[in-house]
Amino acid sequence: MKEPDTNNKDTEFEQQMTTSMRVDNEEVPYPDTDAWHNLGQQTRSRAAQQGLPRQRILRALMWPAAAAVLAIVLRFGSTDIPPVEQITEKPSEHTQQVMMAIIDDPIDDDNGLDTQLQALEILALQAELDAMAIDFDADDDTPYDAVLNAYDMESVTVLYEYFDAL
Amino acid sequence: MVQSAVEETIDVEPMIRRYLDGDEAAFDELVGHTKRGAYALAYRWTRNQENAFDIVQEAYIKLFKFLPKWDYTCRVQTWLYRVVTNICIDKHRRQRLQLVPLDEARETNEFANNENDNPRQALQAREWRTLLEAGIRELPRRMQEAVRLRYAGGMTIKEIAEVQKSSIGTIKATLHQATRKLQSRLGNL
Repeated sequence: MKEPDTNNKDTEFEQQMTTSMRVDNEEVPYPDTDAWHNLGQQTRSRAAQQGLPRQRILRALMWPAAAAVLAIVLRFGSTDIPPVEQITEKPSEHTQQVMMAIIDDPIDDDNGLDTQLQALEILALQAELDAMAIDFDADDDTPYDAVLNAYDMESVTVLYEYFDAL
Repeated sequence: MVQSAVEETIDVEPMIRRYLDGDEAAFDELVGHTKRGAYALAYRWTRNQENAFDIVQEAYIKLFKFLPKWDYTCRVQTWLYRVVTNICIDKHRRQRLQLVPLDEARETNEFANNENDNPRQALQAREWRTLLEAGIRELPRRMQEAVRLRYAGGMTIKEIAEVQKSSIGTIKATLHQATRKLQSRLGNL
């Protein structure tokens, strides 16, 4: 039951809108096809055709990759700090850039391993965002922005936070 | 009275747990218990059976992929309505889905009778519906979403708040603002 409105004009207008727009449950023409009756099975089948969910694949790959990167950092830490360029690439390139930055980055005596782990956490966050974005249309940045907005941040902010953490 | 789209109140959480424990048929069962509400919402939005089915299937594929990290903090039905709504808006925005104007979709006896009884009145109603649809399409995304859920879907303010992850006060304000905008556009008709 709709709650009463205090504005009579609005109420009348709303009633008019409801009359124009409404489709009662009994008016909904539910399909009567095999696809409808076996929707669950169809969904599982279609999802299987698409392969494993990309998020799960990326999640599975992310931590081994991060561990490998950490091993490289610990073994071959260099002294060159990469410049921070303006980020205009696609999300996957962000991740790649962050990863390369970690590889190239030195282990600072003042910050040490904790900082590197913090950087890796941000890398994980970036990968998470990328993985979520992949589920949307890659040609449309709007949903990706929506994901970032849901996290209340921008992709560039994520990257800059990484550099700030170093 | 418009019936609520949130009609399936069955607890499907045990089905999720069973699916995550390896029982694939539990997913089919979950779909069986929730698909009518999701489809009704998609149909109210698209007024087209084929498009509504495609949207519902896309929503369930997303659910299927999302289930491994399901945290049981919201009802599956609410999650589905949110996803269905987002898919509808995204498709609408990309203009891959041609929404059928309200008047064309509603080839009901009611309209036909009105037209026979009073053609002028029917024409005005038709024009009003067309302008209403155009006005709704120009509203901001969340406002448009709230209007459709409320007036086409017959959801209560509380149900819309759940779907939009918002407060009841915000939804009331959003709907009030939306009706004011639409009213100013259609007020002279």
